[in-house]
Parts: sequence; C-alpha cells; structure tokens
Amino acid sequence: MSRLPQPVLGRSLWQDAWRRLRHNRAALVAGGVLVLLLLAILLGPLFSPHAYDEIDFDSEWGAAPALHDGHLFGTDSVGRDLFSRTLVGGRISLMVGIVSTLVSLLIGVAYGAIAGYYGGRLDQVMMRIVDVLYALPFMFFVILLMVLFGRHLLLIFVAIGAVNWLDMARIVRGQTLSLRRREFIDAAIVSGTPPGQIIRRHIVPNLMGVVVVYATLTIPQVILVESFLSFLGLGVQEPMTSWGALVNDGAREMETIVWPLLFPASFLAVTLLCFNFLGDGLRDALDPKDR
Amino acid sequence: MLRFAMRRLLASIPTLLVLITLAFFMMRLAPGGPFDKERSLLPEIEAAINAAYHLDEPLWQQYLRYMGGLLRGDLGPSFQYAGFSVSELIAQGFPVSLAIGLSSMVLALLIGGAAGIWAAMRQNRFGDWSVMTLSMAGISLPSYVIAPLMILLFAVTLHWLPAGGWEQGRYQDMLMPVLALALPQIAYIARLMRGSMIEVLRSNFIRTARAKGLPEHRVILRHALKPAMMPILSFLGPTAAGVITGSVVIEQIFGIPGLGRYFVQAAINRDYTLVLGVVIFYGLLIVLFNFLVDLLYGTLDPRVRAE
Amino acid sequence: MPLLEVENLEISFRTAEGELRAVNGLSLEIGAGEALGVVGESGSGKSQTAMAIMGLLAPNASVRGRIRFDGQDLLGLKAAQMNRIRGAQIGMVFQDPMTSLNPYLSIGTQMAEVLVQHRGMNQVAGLAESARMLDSVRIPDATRRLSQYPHELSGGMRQRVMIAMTLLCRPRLLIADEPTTALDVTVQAQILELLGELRREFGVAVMLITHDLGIVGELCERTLVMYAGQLMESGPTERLLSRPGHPYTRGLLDSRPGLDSPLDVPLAAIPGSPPDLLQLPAGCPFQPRCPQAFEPCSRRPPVVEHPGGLRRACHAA
Repeated sequence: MSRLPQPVLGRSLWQDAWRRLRHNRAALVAGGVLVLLLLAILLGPLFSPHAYDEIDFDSEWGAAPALHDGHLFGTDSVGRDLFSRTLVGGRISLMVGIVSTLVSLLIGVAYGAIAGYYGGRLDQVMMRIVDVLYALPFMFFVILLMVLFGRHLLLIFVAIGAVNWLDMARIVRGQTLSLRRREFIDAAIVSGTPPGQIIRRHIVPNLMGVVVVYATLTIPQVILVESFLSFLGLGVQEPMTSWGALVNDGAREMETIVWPLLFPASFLAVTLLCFNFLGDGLRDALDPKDR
Repeated sequence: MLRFAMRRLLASIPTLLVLITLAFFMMRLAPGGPFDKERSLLPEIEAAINAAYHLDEPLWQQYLRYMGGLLRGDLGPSFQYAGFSVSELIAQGFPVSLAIGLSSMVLALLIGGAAGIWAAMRQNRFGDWSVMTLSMAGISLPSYVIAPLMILLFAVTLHWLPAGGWEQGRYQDMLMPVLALALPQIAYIARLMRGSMIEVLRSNFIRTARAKGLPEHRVILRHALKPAMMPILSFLGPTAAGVITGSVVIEQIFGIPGLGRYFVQAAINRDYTLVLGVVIFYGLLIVLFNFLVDLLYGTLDPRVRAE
Repeated sequence: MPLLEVENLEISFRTAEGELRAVNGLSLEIGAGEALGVVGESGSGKSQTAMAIMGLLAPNASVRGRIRFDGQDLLGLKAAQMNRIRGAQIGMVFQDPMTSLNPYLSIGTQMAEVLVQHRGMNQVAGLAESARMLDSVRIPDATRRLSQYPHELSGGMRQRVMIAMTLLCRPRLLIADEPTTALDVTVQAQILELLGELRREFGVAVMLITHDLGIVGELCERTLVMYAGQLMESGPTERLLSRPGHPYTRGLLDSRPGLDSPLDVPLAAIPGSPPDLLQLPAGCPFQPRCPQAFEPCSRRPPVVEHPGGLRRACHAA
C-alpha cells in the first residue's frame, strides 16, 4: 500500500525523512562521495598543470600515472592528460544527467499533474498516449535523432529528456489522482481557485517527495544513456569528452595500456553507484512503505 | 481467453503505427540525404538515383509505398549495401543477435530470480545485504564497461577465452557477450524478485500454507513462487528492450556479426532504409514480445483467465 | 491431562520503538473435545497466543513459558517436527477468508496437498477425500468446486472451504481466529452453527478467538477474557455472561448492543483506551480505565481460583 503524501508539505515530512535518512549509512556515504566528486570535477581541472585538450609532447604517449610530471592518471594514447580529461568528461556526463533529468521532470510533472487532476476522458487519452510511447524502443529513437540531426550537446539534453519523461508522468499522475480526493483540494475548488493555480500551488508542492526520489534515480539512468551514445561515437565531439567516450577510447587501448579504461570507468561506476544508493535511501526515507 | 488475446493484439496496433510513422518521417525530414557524400554527382545521375529509390515522389506517397511494402515484409533496398534488401540484411544478422539475446535473458531470469528469492528468505540478514549490494553494483555498471574489463581479465590476461569474433556460435564466443549482456538484467531482476517475494511472503495465504504444516520449500515453490513471478513477468518487456539495446554495443565490442552491429554501421553510414528497417523490426519485436507476455500473464493468473 | 496447556506464556516483539509486550504471563487449558472462547479487544494478545501455539509468530518475536499439546512441549520442537503437528493435529482458520486462500491455486489443489503432506495420499485420493469434506461443510456440488479458484467463491463459501481444509486430517484442536468477523451477519450465524455441528461430528476441541462476547455463548462451554496480554477472568461461559465478576468483563458486556436493549439508552462504552504495550504499567493493566480501581491496583493482581471453576485477576472482585 502506498502511503499518501502529507496534505501540506509541512516541515515535519522533511524532518522525518531527514531523520530516517541519517540512519541509512549507505545513502549518507553515497551523498558524501557525490559531493566530493562534484567538487573534484568542478575544481580539479583548475589545479591540473595540463589542460584536457593539450597534447604533452614532453611526455610519452600513453604514459603511466606519475607524480613528477603532473600526469596523476597518466596520459592517453595521444599524450593528453587523463586526470584533466576524466574530470572534464565528468562535467559533461553530470551536466547531461542533471539537465536532461530536469527536462524530463518538467514535461513529466506537467503532463502527469494535468492528466491526474482533470481525470476522466482527458486522463484516459493522455495515459493511452503514454502507454503507446512506452512500448517504443526509445534508445533507437535517440540514436536516430543523433544520427539525423547531428551531435549537439543541446540535442542530447532534449532527446534524452524528451523520451525519459514517461515514467515521471505515470508516477505523478497516480499521486495526483490520490491527492485530488483530499479535502484541501475540495476546499480550494469550492473557494473558486482556478485549476491552474490549484495544480501549481497545491498539487505540485505535494509531489516534491516523489519527484526528488525519482529525479535522483533518473540521473544515473541518463548518464548511462549519454555514455552509451558516446561509446557508439554519437555523443560529444572531440576534443571535448565524456566518461562514455573515455571508456570507449580506453577499451581500444586496453591490451597495451590499462589506465585510460580503468580511471574513467571507475569514476563512472562510482558515480552511478552513489546516485543509486542515495536514491534508494531517499525513497526509503520519504516513502517508508517497505522496510 | 481468446477475447483477451484479441483485445491485447488490437491494443498494440496504435503503438506499431506510431512507431513506423515517427521513424519514417524523422528519417525523411532530417537535413542531408543519403547520398550527400557523393556531392559531385551529375544532376541527371542524381535524378536517376532518386527516381530509382522513389525519392522524387511526394512524401506522403513515399510513406504509403513504404507501408505497403511493410505489409508484404519488404523493407526496401539498402542504400549502402548495394544489391541487398533491408529484409535480407536483417535475416542475416538477426539469428546471431537472437541467440545471444535469448541466452542472456534466460540466464538473467534464472540467476536473478534465484538470487532474489534467496535474499528475500534472508531478509535484512548478511546474505540479503550482500546480494542487494552486488545487484546495486550490477545496475550501476553498464555492460560496455563490464565487457572490456572481462576481455581484459579472461582474454588478455588469463587467455581463457577469445577476445571476440564469431565462429558459428561456439560457446567460447558466446560466453562473455552473453554474460556481459545479462549482468545488469540479473541485477534488476534480483532486486525486483526480492521485493515481490517479500511482499508475497507477508500475505495471508502464505500464513495459511504454513498453518497447513507444509515444509518451507513447498511453501516457497508451490505457494509463493507463482504470485511472486508476476511482477517479473511484467518486467520481461523492459528486459527484452534492455537486452536488445545492450546488444548494440556488446556486438560492437566483441565483433559479433549481429543486427546491432548492422544498426551502428548503418547509422554511421547514413543508410537510411537499413536504420529505419532495424528500428521498425526491433519495435515490432518488442511489441510482439509484450503481447506474448500479456498472454502468459493471462494463462498464469486465474482471475484474468476467467475473463 | 488437558489436550492443550499453556503455562505462563510471554510473547514480546523487538520493534524500532522498543520491546512490545504482547502477551504477559498467560495460562490456559483446553480439554479434549472442549470449546474455549478467548475474548478481548484488538491488541489484547489473543491472536498472538494462537500464532504462538501454531509456531507462526513473526521472526522478531521472542516467546517464553510453556505450550504443551498432548503432553509435548511445542516451543521446544524443531521446524520439521512442528510441521507434522500443524495442519495434522492442530488446524487454524483465519479471519479473512478473502485473502487466506491462494488465488493462484484451485481449491482442490490447496486441499489435497494437506492430505498428500500428512497422510501420504496420492493426488487422486486426496481430491476424493477433499470432495467428501466439502460435503461435510455443506458446500453443494463439491466435486465441481474442487476445480474452481478462490475468486469464484463468495466469502462465506471460502470460509467453509478453509474450515473443510483444516478438518481434512481430523485434527484434535481447531483454532478459529475471528472466523466470522469479515462476513455478513447471516453468513456469520451459518458459519458458527457449522462449527458447532462439526465439533460434535468430529469431536475436535475448539479455541474460538473473538472480540464479540455474544458469539462465544453459542459455541463455547468455557470463556477466557484477555486484556493487555493477561488473563482477566475465565470460567464457564454461562456463568461468566450472567454474573461477570471482573469490572472489565462487565464493561465488555455493557458495551454490547442486545436485541432487547432499549434504543434510547446509549451503550456504555468503556472510557479510555488500551494501554501502550511498549510501556506496560506495573500494576493491573486495566486500572486506568477501571471504575472500581483503588490503591492495591498499582500492584499486579494474582490469578485467583474462585468456586464454580472461575479464575479471576482482580483486587476488587
């Protein structure tokens, strides 16, 4: 049985959630690691003596990680600093993850809230559309989009966000349907509040718990999609890079040098793992139905 | 039951229509044609090519022509592989992809299901905790990260298995791709199975089964397994989609001549008809698969069956 | 020797909020063929007592005390030994017939497996015997029912199936936990009547758990009233209903609507609410709600034997 969210997003809901989250060590550690990662990705490249796109002719190509020449993670097969590349690639991966998730949240919340609030025929039609789209092999459409319209970063955001909103719409619609039956919504209707305002002021704020949980779990999925595209060579373009592109480059060289594969792969895996643990913890904290 | 099946079949028609239409118009509305590379073509030759491929007709006519061909199983000629039709290319690549995909789905169901049940029976104990942590890692490690690492370990370092290639389905060639493809799905299914099994084990009819003095293994196998399998069944559709998507990179990494590899080649070469054909073929496959799952669901659940 | 002997039973659950003490030093006996009604509000520990007898308590429970069935201490038994008793010698019928049967298995499958398990019968013989038992619980067209699924039967029918299923191995004790609560009033009466008839027919002892003092009178010679996991009062049902000694029993009786009670006199509900099982008071658990409470009630009253087979735990009566 799913527990309904509190009628008004009182402080107590979030305080309760925070209290529960504090007891979840895995989620806390994951959150901490994510903050460190974020700091490293944002600030790390500033302190590196080598830029991500600069070829170091003093160093060997594919040099091993070393302290003395400032190539902490070594260099790739063309002599670029892997430390800077991994961190800069992380910026792209995380940015795609976050921005695309926001795009899918915006579409999904609006769509789901409208369908759930108005109900009836409109709801039926809107949800049928979601069902139909759900059955499409969406990954192939993203690939199609990238192939056809070129590889812009902006297009990646939109493409991924535009296909990822379906889950969100379904969840939000379900929550809205149950909110719709609550007294405070009736009160707002009776007092003559227009529907748009009810949705914005009363429905959406009460969906925040679900949205936060879901967003945390969507980010790693989107990062996966981006790295998948980059792996196929359909993502960001050289010399710009992302974790997926780095893993792809690394995999090609792995029989001779291992670090170009291992460093970005570990960063990618740790990031995804942390987002998943944090999302799981948040879900348990905000929706304590199955403990 | 028959009515249930018919209704399900009818329900998948809009999905197919949207799939085909969307893919077709996206393809045709994209800037740049398939023969852009050969820009120095004489106008007459270009016109001849366009006429041969019916690119000179109005869009709606091309669309109808394509739909008509589709009904006959004809997906048009490939733009890149001269002399091959798209259907032929798909027929060549698909069996290989199917062998790998089906194997990894079966593997995922068996291992994931068993791990999930095992964890559910040890809820909140060490065994449960370790399965759940491992499966979290499985979800977080994409197959294209796992695959190179596997090659590194088993092929490059240990020399146990070939790093790739495909010789008529030798098991050595299949082992790593199937495993790499299955691992994320194993993780998903294990988590799903655990949750669903825990919920079923809490239900009243399980209490009844225990009150009847049935030994625990009978309670699980006879009374809990079927209801706990139902959510897994509904997840089979997404699993199939995941395996198909994953196969695109896995075939690339291991150099397997499957449909996924054709797709990537076609996408990079702008072989429009082949890309379109593969997308539609995969879409059809997923719709068909979902339909079969629905039917299976119906036969397993007496409440649906009665309809 | 009584068939079932529960001695000083204590059940507690480890929860996030602390130790929840569901049953606190309960003792009871049921003789062969006897029917005992166990009455109490929800949370009085009556169902948990039944679950302890069946060995079906949740994993976070801990049990102390003794439960002897036919001279054998059930709490000391291994899982495999307990499985030979459950379903064969002790059967249990649950409150909610709508969810107590497996929706994915046919009635016949669910019934026959009991006989296959305990009697070593084959499937065919098990089904035949099941059909006979369905007949015994007055289910018409028994053979056809075997191939039906629970969702095809009404609530009353399902409860009959449950009862038939527990009787298949001719158990010596039948525990019925609120068997009629989820059913319509007319069906309730039918099920109770059936239980009475089957009791005579099969000579099975019955432990009827209910919150309704009214229904114990129809079935049980003896009744036990529980509160906060403790015995308040027990004795012959007729005596208990006509002249209750414990203030709690009296309160329960007064809060019950009778057919002959005048409509304009409000029912006397017991004021207050049951105690928090996480923090049980040291004295009589009923003291805060008791109209007769006085100073000694802050100590826990001992269970005292009274003439006429009555036992009571009360300083005032």
